[in-house]
Amino acid sequence: MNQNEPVIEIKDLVRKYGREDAVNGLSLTVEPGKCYGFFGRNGAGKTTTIRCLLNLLRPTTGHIRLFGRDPARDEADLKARLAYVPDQVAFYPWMTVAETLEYLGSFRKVWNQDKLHLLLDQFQLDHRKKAGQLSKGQKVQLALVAAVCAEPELLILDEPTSGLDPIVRREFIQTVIGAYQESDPGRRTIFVSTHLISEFEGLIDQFTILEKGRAVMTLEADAARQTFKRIRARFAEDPPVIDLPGLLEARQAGRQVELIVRSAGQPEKELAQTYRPQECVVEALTLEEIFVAALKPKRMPNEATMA
Amino acid sequence: MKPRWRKEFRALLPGALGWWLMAALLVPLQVFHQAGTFEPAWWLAVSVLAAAVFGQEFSAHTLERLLSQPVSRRRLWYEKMLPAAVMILLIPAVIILLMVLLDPSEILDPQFRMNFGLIAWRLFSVAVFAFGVVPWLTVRLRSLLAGAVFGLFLLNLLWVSLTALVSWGFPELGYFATVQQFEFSIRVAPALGCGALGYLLGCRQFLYFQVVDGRGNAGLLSGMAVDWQWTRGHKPGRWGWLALVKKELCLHQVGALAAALFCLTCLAAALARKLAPAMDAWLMAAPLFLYWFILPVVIGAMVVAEERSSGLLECQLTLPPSRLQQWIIKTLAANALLLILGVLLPTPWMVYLDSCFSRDSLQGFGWAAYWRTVPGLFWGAAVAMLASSLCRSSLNAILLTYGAAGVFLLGLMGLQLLHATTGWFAMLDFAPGRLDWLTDDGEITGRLQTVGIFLLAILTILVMPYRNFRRNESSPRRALLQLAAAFAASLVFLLIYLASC
Repeated sequence: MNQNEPVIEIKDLVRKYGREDAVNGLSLTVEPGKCYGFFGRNGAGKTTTIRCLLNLLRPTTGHIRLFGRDPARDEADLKARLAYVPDQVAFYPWMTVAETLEYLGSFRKVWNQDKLHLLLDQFQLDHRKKAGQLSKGQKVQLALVAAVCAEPELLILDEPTSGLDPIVRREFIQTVIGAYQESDPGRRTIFVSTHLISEFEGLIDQFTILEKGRAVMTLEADAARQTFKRIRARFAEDPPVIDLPGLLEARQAGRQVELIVRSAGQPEKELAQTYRPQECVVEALTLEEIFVAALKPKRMPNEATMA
Repeated sequence: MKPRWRKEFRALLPGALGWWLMAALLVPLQVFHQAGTFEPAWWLAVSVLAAAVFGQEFSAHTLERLLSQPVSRRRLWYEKMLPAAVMILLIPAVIILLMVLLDPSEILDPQFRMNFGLIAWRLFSVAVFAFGVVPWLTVRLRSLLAGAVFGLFLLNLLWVSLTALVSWGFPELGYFATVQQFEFSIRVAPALGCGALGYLLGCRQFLYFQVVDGRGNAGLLSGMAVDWQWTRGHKPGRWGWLALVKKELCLHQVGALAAALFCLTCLAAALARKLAPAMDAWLMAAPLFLYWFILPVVIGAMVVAEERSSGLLECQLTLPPSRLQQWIIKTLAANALLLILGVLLPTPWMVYLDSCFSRDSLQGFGWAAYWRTVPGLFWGAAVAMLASSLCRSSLNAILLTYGAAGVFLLGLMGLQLLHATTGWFAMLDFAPGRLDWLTDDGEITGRLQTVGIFLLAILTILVMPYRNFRRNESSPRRALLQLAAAFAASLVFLLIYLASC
């Protein structure tokens, strides 16, 4: 594989269930060494896309490449280079933790035993305990440990941290997933579908927001933070009806107005020149706020000021 | 042994051990010497084991993980099917070995050798058929339970069709020099052929298998995921009750499909008789026996365990209706369905059989026997409900019910043996002459008394599953204990009745 060849390449992916489109014309490219966020509401088509990537589902139409190769044709070779944590983690209930890991390790050529023991200790997973006796969160931990120990080039995570408590979640994201990527920067790629966007805030390099099977937005995380802004403006009298280019949402509380704006320029200057507020503060949005702003129906400025 | 092979053997081991044990118990009773009597049990054994090969991945929700591992699907298929072949084919091998070991002198007898060869072929051909066809059905239907039940019915359908073919095309031994050749050509070879075809279809099905859930064809049983919005959207009242009833009826899809398969088998048998009027009467009655053998247990086992295994039970218990109300609806819906599917549906078939054959040719399977069996169906469903209330999956409940019933029957046979040898049971006069309610000549009052005994037993048994449902605990050990108590209670009622006759 060429060093700069995309790890994941999806073009015009369509996947139908009967007449319903689960994914409808999705295109995205994931470069090597990136942490790619795949966001969307429930039923937006995230899991379907991931299953198409892994050849667990056949696309209706469209083109999918993993490491430049067709996952339907080179399934086993490609899966040797990736690890997947599904959204519903399940193990054979009669196996112990140690047996489960031994079983999963038997599929792999690379299996880092040192890291395995380290992570089992770190997350206090008893290797003698049966998988059927593990809590939901412990099962997720076990799945993540198994995925990381295989040292894959691509880690595909579908809602990976939904069952974890906040402490373990943060620890896992920062110390395990972050460390996994940093141990071989430029080669290790993460493709993560999650609702807990704020937890992955520092890790995500690029993201796509999916809505009803279509990509609503694909942006670099830094570019997104520069594009999406929150402007808090205080007026001396009752605020006027504000209409700015790229205005997504406006909320009024007394004489203060809070605006969410998508603009590559400097909307705060335009606001200051046109409406002359007493005070004007600009903040960058978090990825979670950008996600909400991108998918929330637009509120008209006059609605906002009338509120 | 490699972990993957070990896992595959381990997954099938509990079921296989159970069947080996059963075989070891049945061989000394010479059950396998008579073709026909053991066959439904044998079909059940191999169908369940063959369905477990892929069915366990569905019930444990591990198939997605397995398919995402870096191994080709063809290799995964072989890694699952080879241990399955060993485990399934070992059962007939164990039976045959035990038969030889228990009476080695009989091997010298030419008649025994001929019968023995027939038995061996029948055992192996059914095993090969199940090994090929049932995994295909399981992957196709995405369910362990559906795979096992439909595999069982397909075996029955094949058996009926082949016997009809025998009666139609080859009424006499005719072209065949020996009975073995006849048996092999007409029964065994097609079974092996179907097995091979099923194997190829199953392999193809698995190679192109797609992991789908939530939004479309998630498999046959996904329909049981019921319209919860509909259920939740109604306040407890008139419509809330209706919603629960609707949900309960949706839950029993497998029972309804088993009924549809029974109708198809009956149609096939009726058509076969048109072609071959000399067809054996018992063969015509066999689909009904098999249907009654399966239906009450399947319906009873689905009542709680199916919701528990799909994770719906907790949601169900948070609904506004009380647990008692929910239990009453569950029990009534299951029994109403059993009445419709198990009693009313087969009645036309019984009318047809009665018009076609004399009582002698039906070997005692007349109307009296028919109506006598009906309370037994409800009793079987009640026992299965008890198992269902404590098991984590419907299949566990089904196996536990059959297993416990098998042990109970063996116990009864032991009692009879004890009576025959020591007269220990004489105080109850447990002699065939006293059991007139078991014959067609029994008085109507005797039959009503029988129904009363069954009713008492059913009501006694149904107290326990309600208690379990209210507590929402699953424990196989407790299930075994409670099943033993249920059988003991039934036996006590029976003995009291016999003593009072």
